[in-house]
Amino acid sequence: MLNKILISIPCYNEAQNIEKVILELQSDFSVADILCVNDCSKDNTLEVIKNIEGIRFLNLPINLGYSGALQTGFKYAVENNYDYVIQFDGDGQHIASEAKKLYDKLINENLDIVIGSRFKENSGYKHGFFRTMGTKIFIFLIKLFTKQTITDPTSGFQVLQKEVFTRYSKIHNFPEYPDANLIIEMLLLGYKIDEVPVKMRLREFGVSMHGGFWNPIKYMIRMFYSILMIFINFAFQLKK
Amino acid sequence: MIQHIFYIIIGLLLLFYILTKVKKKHFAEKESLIWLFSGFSVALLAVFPQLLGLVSGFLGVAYAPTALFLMTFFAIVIILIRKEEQITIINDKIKELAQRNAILEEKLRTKF
Repeated sequence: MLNKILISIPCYNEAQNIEKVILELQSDFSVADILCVNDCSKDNTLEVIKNIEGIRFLNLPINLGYSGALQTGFKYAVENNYDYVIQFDGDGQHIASEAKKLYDKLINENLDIVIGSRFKENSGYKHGFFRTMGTKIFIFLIKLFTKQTITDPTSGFQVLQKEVFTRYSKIHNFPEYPDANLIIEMLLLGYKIDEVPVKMRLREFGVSMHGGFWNPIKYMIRMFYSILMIFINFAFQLKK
Repeated sequence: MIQHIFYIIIGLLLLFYILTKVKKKHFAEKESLIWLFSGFSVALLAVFPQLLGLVSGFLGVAYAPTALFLMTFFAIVIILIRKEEQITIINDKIKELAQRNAILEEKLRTKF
């Protein structure tokens, strides 16, 4: 039987990007079903999605943020019995043909999560200063606690197998930024995670959720806190 | 004396206000208990101000009114923490509902 693959794309105000993203996916990775999760966009993202042939879409009645929309996709995948979920960004950063590389690695090496990494090989992708520093710190933390090197913990380009996204779909208060914190937790739980070097583009239109001066700092503080809570939880569980 | 009566009236009004809210079901019974208790304490202290002296002696606070502030502070902190907890739970439930709504809506749309 063929594996059922779902490409889940959380979209918030991506009217200008989304059509191109989907058309690219349909031509370069046609074996998968495509799901757009419209996170109550203020622009006409919904209308754009509605008019695209051959995709599924969910329309959230209230804005749940990136992670809420992402989790909705996982719930949809569980409900519709998918075997694999590919997280894909709606802003055009991720390249459709690279999705196959991630998926193939997951299948061939029997992994649980495969992350598309911009930094495993030099792909020429550049972050701002704060984000580069932050990423370096998170790489160090992951290495310190799990002995594994994850070069791009903030990459949203991931393939997950069924057990993983089923687990994610059930988490209450799913973390607002599901990055290094979730990776550390899943590694500690014994899931197999690896990376594939991928190329990514810079976004063409719209605003990144990590843009500006204040957002990266907020992100860092929350991420540290989230990682700390994971360790506290683990320490308690070990005692039990 | 006038002051004394004034505080008794304040205490009773507060108690009455809370009770009306409970009666009208504006408060959940479980939640109203802590408010009812605070209203009752205010009324009690207004009627028997000497109680405050006893409490502050027990808590080891030299200046009696400070004991009152201390107790109020603790009560408010407890109430706030409970509220925070409830808001988190409600947020999570709303999120669940929104997600469920979106998935069901898709089901309905694709079925017909």
